[in-house]
Amino acid sequence: MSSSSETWPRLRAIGVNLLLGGAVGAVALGTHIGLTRAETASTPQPSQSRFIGDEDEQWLARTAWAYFERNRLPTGLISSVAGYSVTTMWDTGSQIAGMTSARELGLLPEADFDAWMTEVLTVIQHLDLYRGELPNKAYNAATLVPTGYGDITKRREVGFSALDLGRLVTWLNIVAARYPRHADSCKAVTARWQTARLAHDGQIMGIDVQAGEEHWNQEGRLGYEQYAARALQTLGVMAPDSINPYAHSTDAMVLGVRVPIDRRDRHHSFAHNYVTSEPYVLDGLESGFKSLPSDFAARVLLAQVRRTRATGVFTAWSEDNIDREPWFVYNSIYVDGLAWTTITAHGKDASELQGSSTKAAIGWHVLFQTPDTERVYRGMKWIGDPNQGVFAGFYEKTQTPNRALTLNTNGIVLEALLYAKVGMPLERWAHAGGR
Amino acid sequence: MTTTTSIASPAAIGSSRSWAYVQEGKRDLRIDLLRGVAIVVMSVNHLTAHSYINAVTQGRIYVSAAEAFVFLSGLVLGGVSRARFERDGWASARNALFSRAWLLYKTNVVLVAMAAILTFAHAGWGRPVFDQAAGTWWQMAIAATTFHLAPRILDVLQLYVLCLAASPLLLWLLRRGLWFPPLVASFALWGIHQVHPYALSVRPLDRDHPFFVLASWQLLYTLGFISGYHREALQKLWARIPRSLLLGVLVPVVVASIFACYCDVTRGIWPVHLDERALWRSLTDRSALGAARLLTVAAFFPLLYMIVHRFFRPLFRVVGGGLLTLGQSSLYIYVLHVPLVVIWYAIPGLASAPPLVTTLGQIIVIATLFLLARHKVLFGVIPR
Repeated sequence: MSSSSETWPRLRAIGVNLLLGGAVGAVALGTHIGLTRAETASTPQPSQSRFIGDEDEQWLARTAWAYFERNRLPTGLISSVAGYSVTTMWDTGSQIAGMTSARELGLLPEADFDAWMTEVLTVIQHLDLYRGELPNKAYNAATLVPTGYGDITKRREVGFSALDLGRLVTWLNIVAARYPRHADSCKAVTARWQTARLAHDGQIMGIDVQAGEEHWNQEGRLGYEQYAARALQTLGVMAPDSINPYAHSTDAMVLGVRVPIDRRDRHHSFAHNYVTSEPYVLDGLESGFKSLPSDFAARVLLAQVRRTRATGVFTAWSEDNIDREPWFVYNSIYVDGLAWTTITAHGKDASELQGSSTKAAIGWHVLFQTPDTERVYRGMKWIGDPNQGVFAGFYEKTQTPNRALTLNTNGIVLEALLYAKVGMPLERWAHAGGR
Repeated sequence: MTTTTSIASPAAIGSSRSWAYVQEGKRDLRIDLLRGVAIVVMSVNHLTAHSYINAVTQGRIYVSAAEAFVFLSGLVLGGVSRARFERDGWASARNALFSRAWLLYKTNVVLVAMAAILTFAHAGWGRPVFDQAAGTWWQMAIAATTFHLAPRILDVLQLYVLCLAASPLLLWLLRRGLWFPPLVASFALWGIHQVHPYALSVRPLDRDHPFFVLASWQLLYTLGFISGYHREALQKLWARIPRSLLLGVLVPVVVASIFACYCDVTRGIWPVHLDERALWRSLTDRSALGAARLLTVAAFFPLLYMIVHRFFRPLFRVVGGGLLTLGQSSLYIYVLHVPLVVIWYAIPGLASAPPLVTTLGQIIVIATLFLLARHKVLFGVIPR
């Protein structure tokens, strides 16, 4: 390639070109190394910048909303899993979250939202309560009869869950604050609850009925426990031990990150101490990390970021439904002394089914908006069927979608997109009148 | 989107009996025709609809009209700047580049301001440029003047302004025979964006990321500018490569890209595995100008150029007059297409109308743009 600068001897020109080109290349390499260090060295910080999506986010919102439209039952409730007409109070909370988000994202007209929300609130105001105290753990969403897992045609009162009620209360509070016309109905839902057995000795409690026998136990581990306790406090349920995230927490080193864990593991208590993304994601989206320190969330995220970088496998781990037996697994960043372990609800190894969750990928990204969260989010945001809904996630071993379709995943996806749109925690947004 | 000097006439096409292009005069009408194709495709794609035209112009290959525009702008400016430098000296060439950058900057600010005023007047009137006001009027004013807004349709102008502003430096290096360092710098910026997406970008007020990211898209402009500056040498090199060898390389790449796009975008059946799909999406990402996309650009444009060269006369007789007129006034057409797109969005139900209606609507818009350029309407006011 000759140039107009004929004064330079040809060889000298080539030499200068190569020398300066090499120098530019060296600067670029240094920039790359510096950026890599900057991205991996520090703990991520939460962001409250608005995340204004494009066609992909619109597709994601419409796809998530398709689940709601497709699985809506005549009662107004939505099946917690596609084709399985059962719901829990946790899932009802996710339903209300999804409906609210859809209204604000322009997917559900205001009049339709008001009519549907009125229907849902009326239904849950009149549900048969467990022993007249609190909502049962599960209901047949088509008949509204209390039921358990398995045969959902039978009436069964199987106890109540403080964690599930906490999520429902969180969203009833948001709806009451954001839409005054529904405030009375939201309050009426909880007005008849007998909350005395929701707390004991400073801790939140749940009841599990097995073989006709009632077991009244402390409920929740670090993460979900604080998330639910903070919400239940608004009903006057005082559980200072459960609200305090430092009460039972310690650290475990995972890939060089001090991941916060609950000391009460399976070896020292009756429950597993799963560390998963979901409680941190929900707390960030809804309260802006008022239940759990943002530093805890950042460290749970950082461990996953480091795994993604170390293995090349997108990591956004959470407990989740799966599309095959045993139907539900806990992808645990840490549990019972082990890092990166996937187990079933009964504690059995399910490492063949380990994988990441779409709800965690989008939740982490809208909350932190780092290059790493974006990489995982971009890699996973297409996992869905526009006619059916957003799938739960993918399996790491096969790199194929986990096609489980759940109300919780789709509700959280919509909730995350609403957070992205308004750029602030949803409780604050609700109390700010949607400004 | 560069300086234009004349509107084409059939007399400029040459008198040869061959179908191939014969250069008569300084202006390369093949480039004008390609720019005409690009501006038509861009305008049609901005007129969002399910139309028969969109069915051909969108989602068929990992290339869009924007890549063509950016590369061709660099190519033309590289050649023009060199000629001006050799004719009038460094100061003249430098000033011309800065003047063009300033003109585009003002154009960008005016268009953004008009869309913002519409948006503030009534939410939705500024679509598709703004879905909603991204902030208060003063926040948007500051953002618009400091490249912190990336509104749809208009965002490419900012890329041009920045590329043009850097062009005097590029010209200065080239006239000293230094083509390799800017090439390395350009590829390095592009590479850093691939590995550290958006790390070198400012966050716009109205989006999470700029769409035409300077770090990645400058590569096309820089390649174009360097190629334009050394056009004679490159044309000699190009002429020495056997056509069969060129076709043997370019055609398979383009065919593979079309087939992959069909499986990926149209059918959604490939890649199957999540990790492979994520990688492929990153390689074909438009904003990042991923490597597979860049490879497609490198094969598709030369192939298109070869086709236009080989069949220039019949092409000109069928569509050439209109395309040359549009291509030679590309900035003028670009500016005028903005209000037409806004009107398109404002007509209720048009975007979702049956394909026959939307196709007809798009043809009317293109014909309107052609007639405006043909009759030089507001040529003294609207930049060209």
